Amino acid sequence: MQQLNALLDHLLQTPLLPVAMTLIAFQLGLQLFNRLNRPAWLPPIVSGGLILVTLLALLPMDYSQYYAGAKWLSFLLGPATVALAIPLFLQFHRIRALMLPISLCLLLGAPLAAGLAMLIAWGLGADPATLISIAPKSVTAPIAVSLAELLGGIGSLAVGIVALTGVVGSLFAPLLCRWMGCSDERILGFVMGLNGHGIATARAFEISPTAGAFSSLAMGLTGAYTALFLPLLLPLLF
Amino acid sequence: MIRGFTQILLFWILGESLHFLTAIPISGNVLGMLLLFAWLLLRQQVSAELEQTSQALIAQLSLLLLPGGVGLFFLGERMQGQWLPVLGAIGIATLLSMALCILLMQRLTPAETTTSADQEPH
Repeated sequence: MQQLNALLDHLLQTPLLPVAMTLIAFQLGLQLFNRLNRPAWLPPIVSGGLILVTLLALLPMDYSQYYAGAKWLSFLLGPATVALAIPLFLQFHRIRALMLPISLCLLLGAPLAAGLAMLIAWGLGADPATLISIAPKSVTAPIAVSLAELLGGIGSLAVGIVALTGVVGSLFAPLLCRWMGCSDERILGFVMGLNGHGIATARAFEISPTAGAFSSLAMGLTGAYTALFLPLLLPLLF
Repeated sequence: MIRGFTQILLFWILGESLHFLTAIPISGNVLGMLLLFAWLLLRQQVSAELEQTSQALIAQLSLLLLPGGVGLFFLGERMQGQWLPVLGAIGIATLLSMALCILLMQRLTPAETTTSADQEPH
């Protein structure tokens, strides 16, 4: 046992073990996702996350030890966020097809998504740090983490909230659209991307290429726009 | 790949520097994204290198988010009494804002013409 602990200490000297654990958990999560026929309620980030938590609970390693190594993976979120500019640029021309509805829906819809969420959370008793972590809930996760941490929220909480919002968005946007008698896939796609970011966009591409394209456009626009208005508006509230 | 990655890192450095020097309340990586987007709009084209690198990075977003994301399960007492507001906000607010978005777009969107969006690799 003593030797086992010594071995663990040794392995935790470098990022090796935490990074390997993350890769293993993610691939198991991905396999589970594919095995279950890619269900909208269990995207790989959720399944992989649950497996990783189980691994951490089984191993004699606490989260801070794990994160000290695994933060090397998180570092790559920086360039991945910058890289979001490229798909936004590639989809940007589609804005011309529906200039008025897209710009109005974005200008009103993105602050609405953030504002409604904060209002409801506040009504249910959220504290300020939780409120700030909820504000970027419809924004793609890397941007949401940056926003939450910059403004005084909790990065981890923001990731969880964003992931769950994406799940709700991918599950219910198609249903809502049907109930409301909307058969335009451009609208469905745009609404999915605006409210459910990358997770809903992955789903939208499964519905149709049109829905997927408009969803990516909405995801990029919402991310960029929220990153601009949230830091300016949020300090006014606290 | 390396060339594209370097360009991305340079835009990140640019964003970080801008954030640090001007105290703009937007984080460096997001500023880097906005700067790169503005640059691409100016040039009206994106190199194959840069497109490849961005695809590779974005494809792994879920994996890269895991280390921070699982921290959610280790917040412990910090989250006491906070789960109800969090889940309520996610459920109710997301449904409400989606319904309002659909309504708004339905009102404003002209009927779909024959080929609205061309198929594109993603």
